[in-house]
Amino acid sequence: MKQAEPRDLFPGALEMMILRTLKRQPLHGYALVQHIKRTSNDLLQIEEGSLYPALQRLLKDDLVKAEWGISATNRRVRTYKLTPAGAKHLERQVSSFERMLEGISRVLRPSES
Amino acid sequence: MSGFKGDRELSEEIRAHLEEKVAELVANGMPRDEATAAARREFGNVGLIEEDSREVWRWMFVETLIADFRYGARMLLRNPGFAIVVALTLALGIGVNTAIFSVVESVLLRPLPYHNPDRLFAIWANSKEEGRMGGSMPEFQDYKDQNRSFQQIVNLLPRFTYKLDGQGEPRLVICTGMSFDFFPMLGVKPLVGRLYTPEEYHVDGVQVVISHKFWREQLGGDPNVIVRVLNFDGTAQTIIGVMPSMPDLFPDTDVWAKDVPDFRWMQVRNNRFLMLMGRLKDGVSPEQAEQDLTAILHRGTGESQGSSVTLVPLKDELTGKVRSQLDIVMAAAGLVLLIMCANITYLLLARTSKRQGEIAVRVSLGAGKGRILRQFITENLLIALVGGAVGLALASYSVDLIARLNLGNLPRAEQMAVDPYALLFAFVLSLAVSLLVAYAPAAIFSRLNLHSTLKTGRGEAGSFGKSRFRVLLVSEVASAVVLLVVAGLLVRSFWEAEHLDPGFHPDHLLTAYLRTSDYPDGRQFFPELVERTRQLPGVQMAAVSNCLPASGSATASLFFSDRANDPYHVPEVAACWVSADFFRAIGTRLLAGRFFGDRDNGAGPPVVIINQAMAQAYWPGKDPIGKQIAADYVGAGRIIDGPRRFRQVVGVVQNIKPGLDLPAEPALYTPYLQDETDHVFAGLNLVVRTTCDPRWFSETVRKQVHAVRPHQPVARMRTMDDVLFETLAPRRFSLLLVGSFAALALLLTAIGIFGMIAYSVAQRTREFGLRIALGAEPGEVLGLVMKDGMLLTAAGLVSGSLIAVVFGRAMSSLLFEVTATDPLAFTGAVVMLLAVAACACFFPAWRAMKVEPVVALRSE
Repeated sequence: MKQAEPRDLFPGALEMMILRTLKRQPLHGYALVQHIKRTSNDLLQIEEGSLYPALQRLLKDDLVKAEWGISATNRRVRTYKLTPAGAKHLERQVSSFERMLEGISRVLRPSES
Repeated sequence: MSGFKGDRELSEEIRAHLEEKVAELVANGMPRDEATAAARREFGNVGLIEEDSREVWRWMFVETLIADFRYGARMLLRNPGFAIVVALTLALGIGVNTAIFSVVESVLLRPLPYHNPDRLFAIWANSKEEGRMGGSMPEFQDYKDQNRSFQQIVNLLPRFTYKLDGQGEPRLVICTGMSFDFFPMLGVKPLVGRLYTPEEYHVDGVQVVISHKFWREQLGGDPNVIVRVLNFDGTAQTIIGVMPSMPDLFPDTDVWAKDVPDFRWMQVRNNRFLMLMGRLKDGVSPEQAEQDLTAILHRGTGESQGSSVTLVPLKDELTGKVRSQLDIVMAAAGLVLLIMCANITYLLLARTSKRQGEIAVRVSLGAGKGRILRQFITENLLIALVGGAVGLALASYSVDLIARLNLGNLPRAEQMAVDPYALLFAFVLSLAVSLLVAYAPAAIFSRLNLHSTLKTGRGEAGSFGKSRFRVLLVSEVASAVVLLVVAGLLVRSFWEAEHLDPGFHPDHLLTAYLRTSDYPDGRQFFPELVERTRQLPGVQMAAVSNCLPASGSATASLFFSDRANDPYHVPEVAACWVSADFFRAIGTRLLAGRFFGDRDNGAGPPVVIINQAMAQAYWPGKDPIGKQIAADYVGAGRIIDGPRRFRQVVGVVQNIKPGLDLPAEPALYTPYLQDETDHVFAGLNLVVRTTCDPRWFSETVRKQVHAVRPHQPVARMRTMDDVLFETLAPRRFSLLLVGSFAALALLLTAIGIFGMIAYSVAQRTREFGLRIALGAEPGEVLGLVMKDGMLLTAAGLVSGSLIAVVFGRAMSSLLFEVTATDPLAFTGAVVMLLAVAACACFFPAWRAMKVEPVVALRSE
């Protein structure tokens, strides 16, 4: 598996965002991409396709589950939903991410002493 | 974790995604083709993404598997001694079991290669007086005409001989007579040509159907074999057909001959020399058919009780005798495997406890427990596969050897080989063993204490003395006891069979079978041959007879002058025509009366000599000499009619065993020159007692036969020792295998006990050091360890002996002159194991005693 350029900011970031988005409401792939793009104010340019391997990883770890259904626009789509394990995982990831972020920002912050 | 299944779902999902995107872009006013391109651009490489998504599922599994294998291989290579010992142990266990399985599969399990073989049965009549009998031609015709249970019923006359002339030196060919339906019943068609027509069955000779073996070996596979003419027994017979190879039924047949019902000797109702077989109709049970035929049998003889018909599945009929031999060998092989598993478990146990440090490090670095367990199983699997492959090679070699040397005289042995079933068997066995022995590391692992292990660099598996692995040692010892007892019982039976007086002196005896096709001239030929052979230098005695010790004999029905004879329950005994010097030649002792002499010829009064068993059976406590009996010989070619000819009992000889491992039976002997039918001259055995090695005389005797009568075939020239050797072949086979398994078991158990006790001592070094430091005598420590090992051994001995009794009972049909609870076999096994266990315990115990307290306490 070679990767031409990093698709994420850091490993796991995309998954975290997917989980967070799904926590709000179950969505299908396209809607997920649109939602992430929109809420990040288009700051994050993710390649739409990279969503799918990430979704498969989450499926495999039982963090989300998928069901075929009909979307609001009357299309046959596969809707993803957060599992309880996924919710827990998200919580942990977010808190550790926040701690990391805090650590990084403290280091980056101009010295206060 | 299974692989990725949602291949099509994923493609569909991605396609839907693209469509939705295009639709949205088009709705926003972009032209459709532009929108399609934009959607694809933004999505990325569809194929790659699909592949990546799939990899998510596949990669994890394959990657860890490969990693496990590589790690396992590295760990094994780092300690090649361990890997080699385990792999070799496994190879031996799997090899032995696969080999035995191959033998059992091809001999016992594989169905007969005929149409619907489960419906084929051998048909036997039973009576108290005469035991198990085939049928006579009139009975066969009754069965055939009146039964409502069989699709076909056929009769066979196995193993008679023809003399073949005109193909080099005259020789005997082996014939199997059969009735019309035989091959159609099996669903076997001729390879070349045709079978006999029903009309041809009423004329002897003229046409002949030959076997595949005869065609290949004697006629060189001649493609123009049909209408070739051969001279059998002085008559020209045209070959009309060649049958395909029949390795399961009568494999040594040269000629498939006809049973011609029209012969007068075929029409004797109580002359039951035919073998009967049948194919049951669908929906008829063997029991129903037995009742059906029993009723017909009773109607035919006019009696209503005492005899009955039994059906035996044809395959059981062919393999019945070896089934019990193979069963015990298979059970023995299984026990060997068990012992090997125990030993491998000890090895893994010791190794795993050494590796606790390594495992603890891996766990603390984040390896899941499942992952580590899988690592163990993968390592075991690696060894098991290597061991299994070596074992398979071993099995294939030994099965080949068994088939080639015809070890054990097994039926259906020709086709024996390590086939795909055996391959599968070996593979499944390897897998099962690798899973089974993963128990040990798993058990240690489950008790792993991360903190203390990481701190000290070694685990606290604790004293082996308290662990559940003690059970393993007990069961290993028990298995070894069972094997040793079984082997002991077989050895004892074999020894008894070889050393019990067979009733004659088999040494220095040369035998040959002489078949003449023209009877009357035999009356001159045989006496002249006997006389001239006796005068050869180096020959002590010569005789002829139509039976040979350990080769079976004809039977005769008995009538007495001193008691009432029940025509429905005629006793039958073994019977044999002999020349005057027969008993002197084979070395059988006379117990009362006299031997036959020169006056007991066709002109003399009819006489008979009986054996001890017959004297006891019919004149218990009385002197049989001078009594009158009539003996009607039964068998193919014999006619039982005319006035009954009573013979005077002139002598009693000791029992001559019908086989070394068979009990003596009542038998009578009559002077061959007193066979007024001349039938006996059709073929007789020549028996020659020599002063030195009888094998040196084979050419001399052959020349002598040809000097008296040129072109007389001399068949089956063998020493009596060889004949006897052959009769014990199946017994030798099981003895050889079970014996070597038992030896192997003893060795493995010694290694097992040694390894286990040594391991336990190593685990308890500190404890011993402490004990010694606190003032324990070295002898006490020695005793402690010895007691530990010997207690386990004793538990194994007791439970093993109990199981061995069950085994002994189950194999009672293989025992000869030995009971299932033979004290010698049991004592031998127990003493041997005790000695081995004591030795195996002593060395580790000695080491425990020598523990230096300071070193031991500091080593932590």
